[in-house]
Amino acid sequence: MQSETARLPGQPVLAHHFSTLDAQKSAASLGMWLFLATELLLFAGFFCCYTVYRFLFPETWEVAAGTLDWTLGAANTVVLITSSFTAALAVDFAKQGKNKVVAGLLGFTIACAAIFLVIKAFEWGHKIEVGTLPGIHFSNTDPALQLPAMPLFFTVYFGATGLHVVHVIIGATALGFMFVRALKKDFGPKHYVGLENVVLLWHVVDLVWIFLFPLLYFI
Amino acid sequence: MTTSTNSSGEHASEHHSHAGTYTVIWVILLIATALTVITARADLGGWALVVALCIAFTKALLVLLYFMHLNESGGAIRIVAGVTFLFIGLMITMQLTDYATRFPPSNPEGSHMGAMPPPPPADQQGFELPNPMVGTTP
Repeated sequence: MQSETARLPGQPVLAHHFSTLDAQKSAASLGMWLFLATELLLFAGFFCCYTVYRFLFPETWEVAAGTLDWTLGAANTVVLITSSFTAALAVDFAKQGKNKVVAGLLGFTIACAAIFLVIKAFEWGHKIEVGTLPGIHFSNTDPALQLPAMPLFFTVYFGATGLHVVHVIIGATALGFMFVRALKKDFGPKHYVGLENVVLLWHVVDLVWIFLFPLLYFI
Repeated sequence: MTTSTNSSGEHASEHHSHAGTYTVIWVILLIATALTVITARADLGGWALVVALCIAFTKALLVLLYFMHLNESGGAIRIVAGVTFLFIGLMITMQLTDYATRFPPSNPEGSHMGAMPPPPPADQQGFELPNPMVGTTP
């Protein structure tokens, strides 16, 4: 959403290669969706690993899921769903030009992202402590966990949640830039597509977690 | 691409807020999360995976349709979203088909899919076709 010429806050600039603002907005949205498609396919790789190894080692997967603390997973689900809700509201208020409300909602969303990361850090910290780690780093000696491919479960667990955490950090950083723009009263009825696209990314972060939570923690 | 073609270029969303819809969806998502936890702890046996995935797909659909506005976005965006999930589905089902139909020893060691099937009972072993070349020479 960079503009070469000076513009008033809340007013979009029509790039010279678009005929109308509507066409410009449609192109920006479609471009974002294409990017999100690649993001979802990236995560699908981990879901594929999960599915195949769960199919090959069902008992291991069942025992391993039992070692995860589902209360932390559930708490993170609530945090992410709530942050998705406030992010969606932020776009709604941006369309109405209420930049103060947008800034408040985005601040809350970023705070939710931070809470998510803190909970995740506790979760990972505990796993490092008890040695349920990927591959050769698996050092847990509990006899119940000495099953074939047990370290593989934690490879999938740390891989999928790690990639997800990277996206939480990137998404929260992008929301931070939008927060600054809201403080500068930059959003208006015709100028919100940047925020809308960042929020779309944030919804994808939520979307991935909706599947990771039951698959990793419960079944 | 969009249905809005009036000269002012305004969208319907400028006139009314989605806040009410978002709140309803948020509450439904929280209830669905609670349902996930309750059903997963209820020990449904083989149905646990099916139930959990049904709830997850319902939640995902709500996020896609209402939070991500697929219910009001243009055809091109809907195609991109639809094709993405189609390809994810293909990717997972094709991989499973592969692993489910492999020659057992080519699956990883220790997997229940990696073991050869047990040999048939003794009375069914060693069945031989009569040799047509024995005792038929003129």
